[in-house]
Amino acid sequence: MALGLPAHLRTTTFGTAYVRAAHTIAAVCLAAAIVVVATRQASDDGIVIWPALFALAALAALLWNADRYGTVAAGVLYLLAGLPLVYAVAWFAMTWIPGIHAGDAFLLTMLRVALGLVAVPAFHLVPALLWCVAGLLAAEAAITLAALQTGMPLAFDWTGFTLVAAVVALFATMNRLHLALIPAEPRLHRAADQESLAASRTDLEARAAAVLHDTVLGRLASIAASRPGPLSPAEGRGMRRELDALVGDDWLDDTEPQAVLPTGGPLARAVEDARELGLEVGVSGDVAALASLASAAATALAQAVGQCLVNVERHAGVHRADVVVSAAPDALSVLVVDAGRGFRESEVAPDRLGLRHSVRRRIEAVGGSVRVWSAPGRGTSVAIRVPTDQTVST
Amino acid sequence: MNAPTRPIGTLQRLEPLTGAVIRPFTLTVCAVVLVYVLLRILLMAPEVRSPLSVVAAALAIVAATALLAWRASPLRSPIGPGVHAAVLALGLLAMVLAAASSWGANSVLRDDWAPVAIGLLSVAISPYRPPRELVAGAIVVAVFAGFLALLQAEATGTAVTRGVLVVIAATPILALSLGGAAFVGSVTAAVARARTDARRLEREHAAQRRAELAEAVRHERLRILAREVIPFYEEVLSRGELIDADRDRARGIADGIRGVMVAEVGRTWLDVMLAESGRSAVVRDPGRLAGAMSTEQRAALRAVLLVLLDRSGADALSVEVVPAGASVAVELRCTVDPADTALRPELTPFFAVLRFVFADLDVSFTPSLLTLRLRYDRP
Repeated sequence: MALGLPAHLRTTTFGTAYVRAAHTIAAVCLAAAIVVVATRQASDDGIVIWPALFALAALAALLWNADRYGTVAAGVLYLLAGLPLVYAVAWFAMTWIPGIHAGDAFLLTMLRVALGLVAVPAFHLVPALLWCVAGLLAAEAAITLAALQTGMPLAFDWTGFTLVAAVVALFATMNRLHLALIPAEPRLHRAADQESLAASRTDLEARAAAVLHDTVLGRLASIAASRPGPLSPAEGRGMRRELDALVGDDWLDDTEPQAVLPTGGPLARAVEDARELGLEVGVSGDVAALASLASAAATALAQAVGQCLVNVERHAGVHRADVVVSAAPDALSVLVVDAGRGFRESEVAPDRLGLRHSVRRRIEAVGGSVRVWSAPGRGTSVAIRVPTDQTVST
Repeated sequence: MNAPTRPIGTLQRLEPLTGAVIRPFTLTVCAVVLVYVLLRILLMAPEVRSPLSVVAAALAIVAATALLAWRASPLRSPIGPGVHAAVLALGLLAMVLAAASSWGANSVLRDDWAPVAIGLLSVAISPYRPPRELVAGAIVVAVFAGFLALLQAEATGTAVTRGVLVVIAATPILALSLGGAAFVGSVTAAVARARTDARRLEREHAAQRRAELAEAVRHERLRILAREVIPFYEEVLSRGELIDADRDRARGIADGIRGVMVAEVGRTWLDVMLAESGRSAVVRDPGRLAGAMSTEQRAALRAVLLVLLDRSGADALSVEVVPAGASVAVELRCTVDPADTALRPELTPFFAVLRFVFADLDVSFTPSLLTLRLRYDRP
């Protein structure tokens, strides 16, 4: 089971997420700048700002490159090439849009933010801040140069500054937070590990108790009820066999021979899907008999087993289930067993259609039957029986 | 098979440990929102026609940040879509009131503070909600902001192109909200990858670990058998006959083994864990209901118990597990050393995890006694 990220992955994960967030904001700002330039150009034939679209597209491509490769070189390229590109956009805007310092200065804010959020995976605050400052300075230099050339007034850009500062504040806070979590993480994983071991141990102890019950306790009860006298050869053999088995090393060997389901078959796919969900699924029994099913019955069986496994994963509170296949002359049975929380079928909420629809109705539709054994705290076994007679199953 | 709990892809749910420390992040962003709004209101004062509206707008933002700060506590139920909608609605209300405060006078719509404030609020809530919901919420609010910008433009008769005004109003909301969603999406994807890797490793090691455990259990059983059963078998086999005394001895050995088995069946993971810790701890669980906890619930409670059992000052630990209607109530009590000020911060991350895996959590922390009350669904 997993209750979160392991400590060693935290720093890189949060650092990478910061970069992704910064680049997303920069991309939205570039998209907004493109829409503003295109809208302006479309609404006024007398101005020529469409070349700025090429510069913005190039900037967007460089941002994509920085995001895709996440290297210092890609970041530096974005800043160095971004400087003349931002200058070009600012120059076209200041030359052709009257009163750019008013409403349309939004365009310049977008450029500042887009360059200010040139983030490369920097897992500490100082490098992240330095990249932001470098980006803001590059944008400011380009815009100032364009303003000086076109004679436009300069003003402090509150919005751009706030946006970039807010994103850096976010990173600074996150950076501190994940460091604070590091001492807690190993303990949580230790607890999860202990829990997993304890569950396995309980299972094995139950198995051991069953072995003892079936062998030693039975024999002792038989001796307690016997009359004094010589041991019969059968009794002697039985006791020797039990002694050898108990002292031997395989009496708790629970590794029942795992069966391999026919590759590509519907049941194999259902089991694989459940494993993808994180469930450990043990398959045993006469899997070769699956070939005797008609395709409709095989599909219904696979879907029903799949639903049972999904139910285990969602509701049983355990991460293991066993699928046991057994064949009779005219039918094939599959037992899906888990050692989870169990339930009373009568108390299953009416909106929980999985067992009723996906399992019972499907199987009944191909002439089969379903039986469920479960009780709270005692796990669940679902026995699905489908006929192998093809005239019934189709 | 009860209490269906489908996982939602929120950072808080996938990374329950962050629940404890994500609140400072939320508080930081809320503080940034308040400072930003205050500064912008002061800067825009000359254009304000209705001071009452601007005060009401500021109060709506204060209410949104207060709601977030209050609900972000790791001890409260997870922030749901209702709180998300309420925060966005308060942001929209602030936007409408702010627009009303300078209706017809604000010719420079890019100075409006509300879109940035809403975007930052969306960032503050991002760890608690799934990325898709964050994006959907942002789009709805951005459309509304664009519409309001068009109405404002008509009122002021500004010369700025209408399309540009819509972009100006919508961009801060979209940029910040999508940034927050991207952050959360990136972390949740990493968590999902880590889980897949962990499960694969677990599967790879499961067989080996189980074999080692089986060996340990077998040795434990052999220890019990070697004491009485094996010598008895060997004695009877070497003698080749049963005598009167064998019958009583067989009965006595069987009773002993049965007693051990009954005692084992009556123990839950909680009994075993506390017994193995060697500390004075009392478990009252007559219905063996601790066994009905899910794997995650057990692991989270184990983590808290591990912290408590590691403290020399944490004594007189007791855990009571009793049925309470349709659920099970757990009460954990532990006396703690009042001088141990590090205990509470150390436990806080685990409280956040408990809050996620149990239906209910109540923590009471007096200087000398910690009381935890939990609830989970009865099987």
